[in-house]
Amino acid sequence: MKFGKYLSLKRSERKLTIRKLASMIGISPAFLCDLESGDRAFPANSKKYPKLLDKMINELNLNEEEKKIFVQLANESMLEKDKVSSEVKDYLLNVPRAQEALRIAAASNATDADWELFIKSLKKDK
Amino acid sequence: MITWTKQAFNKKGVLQVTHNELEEFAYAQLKDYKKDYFKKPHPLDVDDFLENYLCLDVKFQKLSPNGSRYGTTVIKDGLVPIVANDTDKFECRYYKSGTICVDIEACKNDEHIINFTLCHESGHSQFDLNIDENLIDCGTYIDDLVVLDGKIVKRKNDRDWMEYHAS
Repeated sequence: MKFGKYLSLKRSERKLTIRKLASMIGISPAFLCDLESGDRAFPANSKKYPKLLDKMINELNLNEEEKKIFVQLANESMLEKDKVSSEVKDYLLNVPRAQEALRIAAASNATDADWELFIKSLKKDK
Repeated sequence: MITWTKQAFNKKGVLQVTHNELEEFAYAQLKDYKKDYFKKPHPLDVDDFLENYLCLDVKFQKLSPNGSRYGTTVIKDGLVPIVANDTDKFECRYYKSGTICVDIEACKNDEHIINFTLCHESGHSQFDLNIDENLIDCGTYIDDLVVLDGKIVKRKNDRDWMEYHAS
């Protein structure tokens, strides 16, 4: 499970609304939505959001097991943002059809063979 | 959960009910939400009602660069143009049918406007997800006169009905 989904799950379990939790931890509702949807990675060592992780853990009242998972997922989220190169990220942001293609590929469990065929077809047209 | 029966919708999936029926529906929903809701006057926690009772997927996103769009409802699964919070540029996000998006900045951070927008969009999310977009009439008013609740009123087009019920 990704950090955003886990955050959303824990918030929902505690019947906290988006605006309520955002207010409790000092971030905007829009930023909280972005974190939950995975559109933004957890901000590491952010001056704008100091001790955000601790605030989240406290306000969500996580037990030790949940806290461990939460911290691990937040760390993974911070690392993930560096794995996708910026040019790929920019391309995806500016080409909605590419996003659609990726979603369909993920939903249909596209294999390496499927991608190889697709890449070949792209190169052939050029 | 209180929902409308199939008979409340026309052939194109547009809800068509009277003002009184809408009031009764709202009353039934609020009573279902909290049994003692009407015992004494108090404000409605709109966010809690939408997120925890109606279980709607609520997103707070910037929808336009100039604040011209207060809110939107996703009728069918698909890409929705939003203004990304970190880059301030348009991008498309994939949202599922029923998701409602509200732009708090466009609502001037006014609690009344935000709450009205949330409730309005929740109306669309509850009532309008089964519309046939190819069939609904978005054109000019139909000038027929019909009788609703004993009053003669101008019949509206499908899009008007959708906005009327949501509001």
